[in-house]
Amino acid sequence: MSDVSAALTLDPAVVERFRSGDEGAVRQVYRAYSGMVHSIARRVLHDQGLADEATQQTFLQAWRSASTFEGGREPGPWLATIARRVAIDIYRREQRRPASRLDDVHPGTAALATLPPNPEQAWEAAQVRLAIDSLGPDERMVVRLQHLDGLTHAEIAERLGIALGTVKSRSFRAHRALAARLAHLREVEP
Amino acid sequence: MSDADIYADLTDDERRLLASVDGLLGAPETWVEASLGVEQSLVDAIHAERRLAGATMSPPTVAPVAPLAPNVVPLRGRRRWGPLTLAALGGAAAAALVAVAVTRSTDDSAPATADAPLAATALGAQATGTVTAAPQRSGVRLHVRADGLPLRTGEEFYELWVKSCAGDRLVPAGTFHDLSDVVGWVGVSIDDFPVVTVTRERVAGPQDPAQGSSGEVVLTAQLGPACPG
Repeated sequence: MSDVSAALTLDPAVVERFRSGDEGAVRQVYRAYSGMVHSIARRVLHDQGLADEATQQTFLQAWRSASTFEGGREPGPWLATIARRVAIDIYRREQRRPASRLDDVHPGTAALATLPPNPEQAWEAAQVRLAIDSLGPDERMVVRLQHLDGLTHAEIAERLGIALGTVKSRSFRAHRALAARLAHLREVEP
Repeated sequence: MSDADIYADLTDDERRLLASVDGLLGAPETWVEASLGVEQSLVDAIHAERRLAGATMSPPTVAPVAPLAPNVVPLRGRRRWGPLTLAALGGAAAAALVAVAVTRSTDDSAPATADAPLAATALGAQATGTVTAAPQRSGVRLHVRADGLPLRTGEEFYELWVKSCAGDRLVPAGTFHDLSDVVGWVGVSIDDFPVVTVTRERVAGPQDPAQGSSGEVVLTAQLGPACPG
């Protein structure tokens, strides 16, 4: 597993201030990485409230141990590792302590869910989320509508009220950027 | 994906790479966001730990942070509440007077979060704890951490409530065997229901008056300003 990350670019000075517990830096690191952290937690826990709890705990644990974080490194992989571990702890806790009648439990609830993703799956998912978060809002929206909502270029153009050519150019730029940021995921040819 | 040309103009290498993560790009979990209030809850938790450690969190030294994603809408505006008055927890109970320090969000991006110590009544003996209320889109999340209460089992349990200042309206937030680290939810505002209580309860039938609160309060807290009177 490579340490190379497609993460957002965060000013190293912010990471340093985060390590010292600076509130502004905590907020900046949270806003840069909460999407990735929450995505990992949600993938493990299948529940918004529990994933929120895991997200908060992840950053709290990161803050507590920030002084041990090696300066100059990008914090994404470190946070992703903490997030997965925290989410699995919550997952196990929920399995031990079911609090709802079975009839009331949503099918996606952690206690009923399948095993959490392994570290490589979680890491790959984290890389994809970070790559998405690196896109500009317009390009990100097009990618979302394409992949999550399954819309065609023409449907996106209609939905957003923009020209078809604009959708195509944004889609091209977005996917090229995603490919560049995810290049480290490329499997080595035998 | 219904567009045959979604990866038009990309190289074969890029196409292969994106195809390998196509499932992740289309997975709802990839696109989720943490709820409003989590960021502020995090900062509050850090403040709380700093207070416990006898330190003060260093003030922000950076320029205002970037705005949140466009789909995130602040629920409330800028607001700060200072240290609040004492809350009397009287009656026959050996209720403590507690200074409740509630900090409201100073960040336009986050809803107000409040935390307060839980004070034990005589029924709660040596129990201590804290409650953090974090308003979120789906309701108010109440995070309770309490020690010193015996485990309740079988048909006996603890119940978490919020109630109005007048005490005439009561909303349940969850039932628990143990309160060491639990989360309850209510679908009402803590501005209208600022008193948090924990009671001892037993299972009761649907028409049984015992379905409501037993009145056996073991812990209580005041979120926000002290109730008048």
